Amino acid sequence: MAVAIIKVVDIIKIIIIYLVQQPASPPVSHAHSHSLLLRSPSYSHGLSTSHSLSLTAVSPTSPSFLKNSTSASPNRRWLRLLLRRFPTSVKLRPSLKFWLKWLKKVIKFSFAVVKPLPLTSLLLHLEMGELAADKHVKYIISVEKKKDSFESVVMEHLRLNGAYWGLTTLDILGKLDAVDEEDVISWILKCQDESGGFAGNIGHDPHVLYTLSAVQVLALFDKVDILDADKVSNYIVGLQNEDGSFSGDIWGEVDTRFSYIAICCLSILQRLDKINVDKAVEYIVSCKNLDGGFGCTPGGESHAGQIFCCVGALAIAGALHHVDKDLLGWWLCERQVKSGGLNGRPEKLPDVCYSWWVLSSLIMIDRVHWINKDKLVKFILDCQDMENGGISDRPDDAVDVFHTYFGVAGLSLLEYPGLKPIDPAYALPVDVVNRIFFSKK
Amino acid sequence: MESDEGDEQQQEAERLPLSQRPEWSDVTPIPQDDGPNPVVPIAYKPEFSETMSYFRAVYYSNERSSRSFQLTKEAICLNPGNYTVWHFRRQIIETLHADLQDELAFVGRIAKSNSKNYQLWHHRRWVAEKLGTGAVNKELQFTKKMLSLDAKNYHAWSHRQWVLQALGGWEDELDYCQMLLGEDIFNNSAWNQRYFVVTRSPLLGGLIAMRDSEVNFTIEAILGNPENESPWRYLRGLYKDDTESWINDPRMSSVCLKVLSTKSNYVFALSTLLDLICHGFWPSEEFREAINALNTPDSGPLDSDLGRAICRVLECVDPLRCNYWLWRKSKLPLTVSSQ
Repeated sequence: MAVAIIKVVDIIKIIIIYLVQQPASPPVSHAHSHSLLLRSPSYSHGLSTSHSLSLTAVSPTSPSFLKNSTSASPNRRWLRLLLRRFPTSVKLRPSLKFWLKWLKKVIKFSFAVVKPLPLTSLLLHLEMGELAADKHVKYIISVEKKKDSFESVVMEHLRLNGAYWGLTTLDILGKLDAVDEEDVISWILKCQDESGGFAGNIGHDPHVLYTLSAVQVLALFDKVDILDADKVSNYIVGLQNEDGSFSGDIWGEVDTRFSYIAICCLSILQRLDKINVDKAVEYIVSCKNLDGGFGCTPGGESHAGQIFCCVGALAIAGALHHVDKDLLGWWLCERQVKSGGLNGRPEKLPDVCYSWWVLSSLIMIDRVHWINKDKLVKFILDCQDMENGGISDRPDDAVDVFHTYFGVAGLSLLEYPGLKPIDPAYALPVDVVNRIFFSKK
Repeated sequence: MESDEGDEQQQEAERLPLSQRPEWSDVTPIPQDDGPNPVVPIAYKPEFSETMSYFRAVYYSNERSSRSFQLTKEAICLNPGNYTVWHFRRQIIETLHADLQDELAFVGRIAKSNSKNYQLWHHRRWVAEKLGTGAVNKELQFTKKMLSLDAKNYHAWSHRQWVLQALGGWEDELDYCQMLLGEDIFNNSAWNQRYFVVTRSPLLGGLIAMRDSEVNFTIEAILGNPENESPWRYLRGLYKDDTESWINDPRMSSVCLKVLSTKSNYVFALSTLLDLICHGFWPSEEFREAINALNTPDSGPLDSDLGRAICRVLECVDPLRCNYWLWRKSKLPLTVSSQ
């Protein structure tokens, strides 16, 4: 009986896939880790070079995200013949939609006796909304232009961060050319202080937070070369403390966020050797907790944002072997709640920004298949403002550029179609990162 | 935080524009330069732009006077995220040797509505550091007050940990954690702090000395709410670097068995039992019976290997993470089976 249902359900599944699905993009799991794989010695350790250069699934434990939805090839020819007789378009017609809804109910009922995995994925694909990419582009450009709105003015001191969030999102959506490159670059250079660091905006004090954003935005435009790399790196080098930690600026606040910023920024400037990398790694490792996660300082509670910073820093520094990947991977996948969203700590609410911090961490330690990706995609899409563009922290909340960036970046990590792949450690598009490291001398 | 923010709010209500204040008549305000062609003219509060324009004037001229000190206060109240204003305020404090206790009080008054503001917390730490050990009680009181508003405020916890390590005050910390956990046993921050105290307090004797009582407390918490992630992780942490003692402590497996027998909220009990088995624990027949009794759908013929059986149940009852449980199953040592 169970076998008969499986057969019927399989046939229905094949028909639905064929009728409804957009043309599948080729499986590109680990396109994100492609650049990182080639760079970081800890990845190539134990892997053959052909393995690490492959764009398809690297390890047997990480199946391709798209595998389940593109499995129909042997039957497709038969279906093509059938559908030529009864032509249909890819878009759903009202009557077809009604039929499918009823069918969903039948399939859901069959769940009880059938292994749910491929069908859950299928149903979620049917229920899922779309990414309103154009609306998000419009939203970001409007925020960029509305410099005199109250919201814009109260955030003016961190406009450089805002530029990074907005412009990286545009690049992922393939619309970086919507802004005036020269305008942006000349403004960024005005934010540089004589110490070499960058401020959040003209007339403010330098801080590593904005220094990283400045370098990242210049990287988007392939203009990192216009900087005096030694000058900028000296600013950062001067902020490393004796225990290996980094201060944010001259006022001495210490946080593993700044360790990540220092290592990431210096790596982009190709000046990583100027700091004491071993000491920096030692400090980060001292912030590791018993659950495998990391806090802001030694003993600080594990938090997804801090974990991203520590894992990212270790990845760039080639020191990922310090991470207990299985333990941390489990902690991270426990962040997924029933709605499909991710929280940052146990018993907290889900938030779209954790789609980035948890997800990128999982990818860097090669454990991303431990979460339910389909449900997370659905959660992010539900956080969109479909009318005005932008993404919020949770469904139905107000949007902002910060969450718009993390939502889109998260979808990119989840290989949502139509988005440029993003590097999980550098938080920049993969082609930008490759350009930095592979097209130079 | 004895007085609330009434002072700050009252000042705003009675506020005289800076351009009308005689003590500011000699200063030319500097407007924000957003580059050429901003698209839409002013749509925000005029007092905000005025305050910031005057701030820019004194900041660029590096005027460290009492009037600019007062101005930074107004600017901070209007926009507490503006880190440059905080920086300049600190420079003025140093130049004028301003009263640091007053400064703590000021931060205390605006903390409630800015509880997650990085600049505020860093400023507080800077002042407290200058005051030294004399500030201990005030800082512990302050963080306690902030945590009573939000018991998981990451900044507050980070500040509290810094206070304990830099200035002392460990005496009542374990009791404080106890109290917070009494209010909300699910508070992961409080569990983390408990571990912090148990492992780092100079007054308690260290992890191994505290282990026994801590295990008992944690087990009680688990039995009260077995779906609570934090105490399970805490329990594991109590045996950090000592796996042998961990698998040999009969309380570890017995708490799993107790939870399994209730047949509800047993996901963490199962995963802990799985961990124990993977590290060499030999489960007795009771465990097999308890897992059989769970009677989940799709269990089919139960695996002779208890580890595999546990994984199959977990794939079923925790489907969100079924790939993780599949992987755990693939990693099971092949020789493990129940006696």
